[in-house]
Amino acid sequence: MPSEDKPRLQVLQGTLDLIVLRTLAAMGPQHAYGIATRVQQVSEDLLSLNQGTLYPALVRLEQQGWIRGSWGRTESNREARFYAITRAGRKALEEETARWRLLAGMMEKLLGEES
Amino acid sequence: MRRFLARLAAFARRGRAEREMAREMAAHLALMEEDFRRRGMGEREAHFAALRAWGGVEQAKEMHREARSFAALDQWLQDARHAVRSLRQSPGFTAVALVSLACGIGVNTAIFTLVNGILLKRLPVAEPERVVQVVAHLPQFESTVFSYPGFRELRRQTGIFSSLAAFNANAPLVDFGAGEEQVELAMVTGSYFGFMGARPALGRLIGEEDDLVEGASPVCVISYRTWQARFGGAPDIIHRTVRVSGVPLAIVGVAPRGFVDADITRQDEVWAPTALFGVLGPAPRESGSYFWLRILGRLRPGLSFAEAQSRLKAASPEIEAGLPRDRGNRGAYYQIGDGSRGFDSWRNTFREPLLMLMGAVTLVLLVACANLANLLLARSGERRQEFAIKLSLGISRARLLRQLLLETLAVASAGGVLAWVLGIAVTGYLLRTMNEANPYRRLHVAPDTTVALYTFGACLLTALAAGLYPAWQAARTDVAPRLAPAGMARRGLLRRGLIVVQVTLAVVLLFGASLFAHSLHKLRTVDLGYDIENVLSVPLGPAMGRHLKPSVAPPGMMAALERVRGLPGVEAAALSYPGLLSGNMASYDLRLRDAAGVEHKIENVYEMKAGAGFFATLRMPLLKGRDFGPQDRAGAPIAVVVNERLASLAWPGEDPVGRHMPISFTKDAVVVGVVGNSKYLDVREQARPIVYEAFEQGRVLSAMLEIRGHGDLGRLARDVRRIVKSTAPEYEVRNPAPLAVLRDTNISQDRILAFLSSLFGALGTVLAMVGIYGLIAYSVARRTREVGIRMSVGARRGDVLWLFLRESLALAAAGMALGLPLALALARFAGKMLYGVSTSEPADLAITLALLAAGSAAAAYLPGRRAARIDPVEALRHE
Repeated sequence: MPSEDKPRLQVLQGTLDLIVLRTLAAMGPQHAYGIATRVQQVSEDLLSLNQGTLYPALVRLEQQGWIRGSWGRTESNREARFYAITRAGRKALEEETARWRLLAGMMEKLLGEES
Repeated sequence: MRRFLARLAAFARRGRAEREMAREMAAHLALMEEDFRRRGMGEREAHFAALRAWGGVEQAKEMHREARSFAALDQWLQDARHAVRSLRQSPGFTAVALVSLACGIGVNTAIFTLVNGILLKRLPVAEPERVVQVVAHLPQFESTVFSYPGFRELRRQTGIFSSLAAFNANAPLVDFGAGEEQVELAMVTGSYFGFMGARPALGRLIGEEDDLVEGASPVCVISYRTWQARFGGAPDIIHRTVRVSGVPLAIVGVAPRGFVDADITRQDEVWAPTALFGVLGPAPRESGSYFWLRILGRLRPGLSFAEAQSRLKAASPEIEAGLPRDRGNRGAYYQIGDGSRGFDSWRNTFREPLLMLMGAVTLVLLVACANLANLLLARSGERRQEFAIKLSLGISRARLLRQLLLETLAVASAGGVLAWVLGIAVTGYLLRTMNEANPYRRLHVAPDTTVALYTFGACLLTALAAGLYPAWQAARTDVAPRLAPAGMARRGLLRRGLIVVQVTLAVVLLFGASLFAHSLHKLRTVDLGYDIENVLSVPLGPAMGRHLKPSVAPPGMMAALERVRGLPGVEAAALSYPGLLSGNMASYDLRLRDAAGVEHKIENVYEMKAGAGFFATLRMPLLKGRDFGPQDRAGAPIAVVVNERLASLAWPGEDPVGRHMPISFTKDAVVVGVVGNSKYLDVREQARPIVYEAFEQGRVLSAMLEIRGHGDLGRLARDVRRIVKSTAPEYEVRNPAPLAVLRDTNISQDRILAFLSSLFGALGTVLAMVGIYGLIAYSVARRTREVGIRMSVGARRGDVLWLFLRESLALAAAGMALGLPLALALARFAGKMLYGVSTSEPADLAITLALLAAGSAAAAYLPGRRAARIDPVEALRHE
């Protein structure tokens, strides 16, 4: 459970897709809960994520053909829908990562100048 | 693009996608719960923790759906279905809402059909703003009809007009092969169809070559509808013949489908060239004394309206100089008026009444709108629980708002469809009323796309106006089901306010209805100066193609009169011209010298030729002297009878009998009698000076045969027609009608206004009463407990009933207090249309208020009685 005292960030518009792609690229096929858990671990519970909000991103990515979902079974033998990144998804991830870095770098510079 | 296709696919398979989503989310929750349990939570605890971590399940589903497909479109469909379902569950509400809307919008559709057809619609030609109507200004009056030479001279003004078209409006007897009937026919110049930009549907249209030589080209063109309806669209229609007034004309073509006449309120079935006027009409086309053509012109490109106006005025002497010496309407100058909406045969007379009616139907719509708003407020009050559940299940407030608006819109659309049907029915009734009595001047208007858009717009606007606030209120419903006294009080206040508005508007509508009904009653009972019951008026005129000259006591006419007098069932008969309430008049300025030799002028003395026995036939009171008799014939001294009004103007305080006076055709006539005043042209006219001249002593061309009979006047008309055909074939019977029908035709506008204003008044009142009924019924339901308490502490049934009657009457009183000054202020717009009734008539005010008070009491009585019958013990257990 996320602790209550840490300041929590809202997921920035447009970044959730990137996060999901990155997670799938790093960890292989995952179900939605797995992705959500992983995101929270990585962000050290800094990120507040209503797990339901993951779905629009999953649908969007699947429609774009960047991920593909299929039904499978978890280790505990429960059924779940597993998502895997596609080749197009990897390409998109590269592009998006580069663009994000560019943007982040620029923001960094800009904010640095300010202070 | 790819996403678009995916969405499209998803939209098509949305049922499956929906199941998949539910399954996936359930699995997700299960995984989470499992995880929490592993971390040592209890089963219930884990379940709720999972739900918390997840956020709103329904919201997530919603977001999923939105991302998945055209969620928007899908949801709209869903909500529309939901709306229809929810309406079906409350048939009472739906029925009342539908009926109020159908009535409110239906009368709007009907009146707007008239406004559109008469006032708004433009000629469907290129650059209609360059089309003008020519008007002749004469010393005494203005005229919009011209002789053919007049048209020819105007057409020479090529510096002003690039083209000029003329047409007449007639309704002769036409035989398409299945017997004669009165059919709308126009004689048109060769330029007419070109001017209107028409191309034939079949064959050819009338062209210049048909219109050059008088009588040379006996052809006609029929309308598309006539071709379809009367000839079944026969392909070999060309060169078949149609008999117009007995004259065979060859059909040379069919006008285009949906062709609009130069007078857009006409629907001619047949067009013939003006060159046939000599054959089908009473005189040669070149006659300068027959004014029968209406003229539309197209201004030369680049010429402004003002410039054209001044040029035409300047050219007037030249135009006059080109006309035949032997002509009527001398000394004219010519002007142009707006012709972009076609020849004006109704606009001028109908503008004011139509605008007033448009105002009235707007009020009716407002009452209906208030009714709908009230119903919706009541309904959303009842559904607060439903909204609270929906909201807590995760529906967004925006979507709830949309669902409720869609419900209103569904009611409005269904109401709109009903309104359309009702509107067409009302329009049809109005047109029948107006057209039945006057086959020469029929009005045709039909709803078109503009009207459809208006109706649709009215529906949409009503739905928004009535539905927005209730829906917004509902969408703000508190999720926690607690009492919200503030909100309820506000809603209650609003509902009462709406009732007051309804009553206010009903006062205006009902007062208007009362004024017009009152005015009509006065017009119907006004003393005309003669007895119109059981009198048949038969217009006689030269038969088509017989170019008769005016003559003294034409033998054929006299012989026909004698035979008519001999018919069984005929009490008396007499000839006259132009006849009573005939629409025609003759007048002159009377100059008299008094004893001192000073000349007095009495302007506009009406002239009527009246044959022997005229006054007895019409039962006009002879005050002095004698009626016309057989002694008043050609060669005898010219005899006249004056009416009371003329006697008092010409010889005040003296006996007019035996006096000499000039009339229009002789300088010396002798007064033989005095009769009472009577209505000559119009039921509304004030007593006018009238001189009656012996019919048999002056030259006549046409006549009105007035017959007093008992029994069936229709059969009498057929007998007269037969007699004229055999005894005087040089004459024909035009359009015989009972004098009572001529009177009704004369006040047809008043009849229509009385009918419509009564309809609107009744609608407004009934809708307001329905509103009151609904409010009181609701109030009774809410106060059941209170009533129980009151009764158990000794209140009687009468007290309980009064409790609710008082509530209703208080609202009605507030509405009346507001409505009264408004009604008095608005009634001024109707002032000119009323007869013998002032716009602040106390009797009508009293009737209005009494009706509304009685209505409000009745509307509250039904639910009030229900409350009075409550069993106090039951009531206390209530809730």
